[in-house]
Amino acid sequence: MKETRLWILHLFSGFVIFFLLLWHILYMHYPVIMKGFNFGVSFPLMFSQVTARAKSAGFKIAYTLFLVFALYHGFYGLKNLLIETKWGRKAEILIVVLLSIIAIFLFIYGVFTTFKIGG
Amino acid sequence: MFKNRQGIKGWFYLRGANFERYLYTLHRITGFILVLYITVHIILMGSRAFSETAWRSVLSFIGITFEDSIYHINPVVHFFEYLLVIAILFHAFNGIRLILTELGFFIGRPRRPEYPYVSYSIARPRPLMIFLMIIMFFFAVIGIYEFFLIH
Repeated sequence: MKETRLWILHLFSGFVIFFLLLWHILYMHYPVIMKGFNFGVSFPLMFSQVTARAKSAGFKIAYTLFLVFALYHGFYGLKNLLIETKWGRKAEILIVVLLSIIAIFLFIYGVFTTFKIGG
Repeated sequence: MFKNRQGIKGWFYLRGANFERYLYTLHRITGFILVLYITVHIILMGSRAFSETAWRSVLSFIGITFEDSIYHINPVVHFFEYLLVIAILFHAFNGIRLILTELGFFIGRPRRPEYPYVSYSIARPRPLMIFLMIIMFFFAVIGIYEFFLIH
């Protein structure tokens, strides 16, 4: 039952990040075309632009949600891939523990960098 | 209960497989690449929290150099960025297809197998797959314009 819930959460997080990812891709990787639609900026990697959007509450919320759902979706998916290696039950436990530690570290670091820059 | 006897090797056992089976393997490969990417991405992009110098040196390390109020991207890095965007778009749109079919949408009611034994659980969602792949292809094509023609 627990695994079913985790799987449903995997699907739900995939559905949420579909929209966040499209927004992120269009904003960061299609800046010239999107500027034509009055969305985004021409040079999103300029430090002034990075700090400007990081100060926006909307961006902070979106980045945090993105982090939560993308890390859960990614690392739960990776866990499912790795346990197909058939390395045994002990290896499965080790994989779950290691991936959880990495995901939690990335989440804490990601939230720290999201909020620190905005001051 | 289903037993995965082949492990990861089973992903690549594609003899006689339908197109959705190829998408499944590609979905797993792109998913694996994207988890590795997001790990590196979060760590490197986090440099913005420290200083503008740290931010610029990290971007310079990955091939993005600043000049006045614009920046230049190494063409090789730019090409791999495009491939990454394609992998993300594929994983996203194919993932939406997988979620919808997993939840039972576009599959239709179960029916008695009759000659010529068409697998309706595959055939019914196929228009959805084609529709989503066309949208992905559209983003990939306008990506060529964005990445290679106007820079």
